[in-house]
Amino acid sequence: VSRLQDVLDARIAADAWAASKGLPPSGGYSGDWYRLGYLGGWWPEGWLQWWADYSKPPGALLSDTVVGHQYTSTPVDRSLFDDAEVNAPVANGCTDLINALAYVCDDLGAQLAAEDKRPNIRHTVVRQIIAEMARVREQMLGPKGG
Amino acid sequence: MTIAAIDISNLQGHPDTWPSQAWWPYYVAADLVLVQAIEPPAGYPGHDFIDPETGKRGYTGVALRKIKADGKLAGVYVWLWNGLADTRANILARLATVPASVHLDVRPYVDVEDTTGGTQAFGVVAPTPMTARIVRQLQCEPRP
Repeated sequence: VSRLQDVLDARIAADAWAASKGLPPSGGYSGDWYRLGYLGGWWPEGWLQWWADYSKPPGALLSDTVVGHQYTSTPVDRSLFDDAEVNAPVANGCTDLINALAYVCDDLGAQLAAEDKRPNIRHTVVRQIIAEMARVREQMLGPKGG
Repeated sequence: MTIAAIDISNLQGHPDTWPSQAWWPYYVAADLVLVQAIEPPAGYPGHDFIDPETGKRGYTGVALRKIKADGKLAGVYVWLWNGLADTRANILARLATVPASVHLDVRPYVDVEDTTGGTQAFGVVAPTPMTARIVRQLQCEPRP
């Protein structure tokens, strides 16, 4: 769970920085070897991928969700990117809210569902999830009742 | 349509040294160059260079200005170490090495491939070129 939360935290920070610079929301660099081996097949909802796979021809991975394909590291890391990545549209307020809603429903919801399947629900974990929901609420909408 | 990109870090050194390195032809051919945003600690490449614009150590700033001066597209990526006390602050500190004078052409990317700080839990063996990447990052900085 820690690794997944670290990824989510990094995304939030990078998105905030991107917004402050007038850039599109962040993307994530990784590969299936890591997503499957270290994240249990998970990847943040809607987070565009710059994906490494040295076994495939250059650009073979490009798709709606994979915007860059790193195909070799010799003698330097080389990738092909979808040219739509250049000056891609900057997120608006609705996109930020949509992403926050997706995070609460999908990611935090998945954490709650996983806890619910345990024989003994850990109340400390549930409280952490509730605290995270409150944090997102304050970040996106301000303090409750404010 | 696609664009050709390379990505570099402080391991590639100061831009003045780039033309003498084996990968230089790929820089010349690249449309987009992505630079790792990082401030190296003492003993690591770039630590002795202080960027005149950001006041941060390392080659991130000078590399980005060189890329733009060469008429190329510029971007940045940041390494994510798992298990830090404050991940968000760590990411923002790295991004603070990006000079305000440089207009980036693509979104920032978070490099998610830290294989330290925990066990490999899901039984997938990483391909050798990928496991070498953590070694390379540890040549840029120690694990915090």
